[in-house]
Amino acid sequence: MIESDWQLALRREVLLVRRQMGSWINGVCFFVLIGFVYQLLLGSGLELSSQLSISLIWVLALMSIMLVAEHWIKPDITSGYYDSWLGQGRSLHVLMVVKMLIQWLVNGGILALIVPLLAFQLGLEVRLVPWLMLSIFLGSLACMCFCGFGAVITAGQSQSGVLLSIVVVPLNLPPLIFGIGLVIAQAEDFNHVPILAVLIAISLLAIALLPFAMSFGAKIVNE
Amino acid sequence: MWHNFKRWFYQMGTPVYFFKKSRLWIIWSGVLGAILMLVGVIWGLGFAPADYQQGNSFRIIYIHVPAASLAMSAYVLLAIWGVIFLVWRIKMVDVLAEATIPAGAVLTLIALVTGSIWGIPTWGTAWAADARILSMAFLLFLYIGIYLLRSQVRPFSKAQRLASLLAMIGVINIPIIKYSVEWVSTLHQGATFSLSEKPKMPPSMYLPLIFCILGSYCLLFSWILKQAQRLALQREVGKQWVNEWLQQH
Repeated sequence: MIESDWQLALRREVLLVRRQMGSWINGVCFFVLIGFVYQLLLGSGLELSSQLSISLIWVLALMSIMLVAEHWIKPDITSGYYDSWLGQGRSLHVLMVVKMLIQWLVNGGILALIVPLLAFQLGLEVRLVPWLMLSIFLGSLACMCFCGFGAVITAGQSQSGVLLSIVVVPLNLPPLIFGIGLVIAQAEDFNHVPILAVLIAISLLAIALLPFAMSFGAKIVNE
Repeated sequence: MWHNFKRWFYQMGTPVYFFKKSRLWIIWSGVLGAILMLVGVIWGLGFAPADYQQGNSFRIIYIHVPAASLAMSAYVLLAIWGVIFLVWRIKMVDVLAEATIPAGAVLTLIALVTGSIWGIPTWGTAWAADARILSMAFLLFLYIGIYLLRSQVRPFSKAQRLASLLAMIGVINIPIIKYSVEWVSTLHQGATFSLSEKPKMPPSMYLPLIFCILGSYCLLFSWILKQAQRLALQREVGKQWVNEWLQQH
């Protein structure tokens, strides 16, 4: 029986995540490590405002995603995997959707699970921690799509890291604003439902539209 | 009618025709823009009444508002060029996009700088952690990112298409900038003009602004065409029409 595009992509991406643990452990370690660095530099007894620690954790999450985004795309392009994928008449868009969803569930899920550790390091109020986990989990899908897109369009170069960060950070503005906004709304007892809805909408739009741009970009880079 | 339009469209898509046909557009839109801008600026700076709260410092809107609205329009224009280039692969459109990037970046910078200058007497600070200011700053970096992508990726044909794609995706930031003053409580005031409401200023204050905005759009149009002419000439070096043109000048 010939596997459909979805099945094959799913099997491949799950295998990749299991076999190349290094690539996502890298990002997760960065996330925790910088948290420790901040704790070391700030010392004990200093209280950060909740707004500061929320945005710090969010930016660290974004940076750790940016750090590993290169590993999602570049090996596939240099090894010619997309060529063989397209050569079998398969849809690159499907591969990108599956890739982003798997990375989100694994990488974004682990980032969200580690958030309590960082929140504890930075002295965030306990009642805000579940909300921060939720907002990072939901928002990281959009962040990963934008970072993946940035990784695709910079993949053709040898030193793509610097260009990637300049290209990707302005694009990540919407999930960042609404992700942080959700937790701050909780902290200050605003109505959080509309912000939550917008955050989910941004992530859904990103996973619906960005894979098209990614597969299109990958075809251009691959030529 | 449709046939004529299509012919005109395809003719403008080739550098030779574009180079010849755009000359009059550049001159007339430049002249019109300069007149409108001059009238608007002199009227606005010299004769419009001072604001009852901000005094004379409000007059910077005659530069600030056109620059800021043009910076965003130029980005939307860039995204439209991107779509057209990716779909139809028209050479000239990419030339126009390349001409739009620096213009847009400089306009964003002008909007940021004039805003800071105005902020000193009015808000008491040149730079605030304000949603509108910061999203404009991100727009500047978006322009820079597109420029860097174009200049660093090789071969150039890939860079053109990747930059078009990035310009298309980056358009999500435009609504964020536009509505940042309404979504988040900010220092920045709301929109000066809106299509659905009467302006909150007397005509003697907003008419010069309209002159300035229209004039700056004409000037930008003229500038982009002029730069596109220069770039078209550069890219087509060695072609026969360029040699002929060089002999005549």
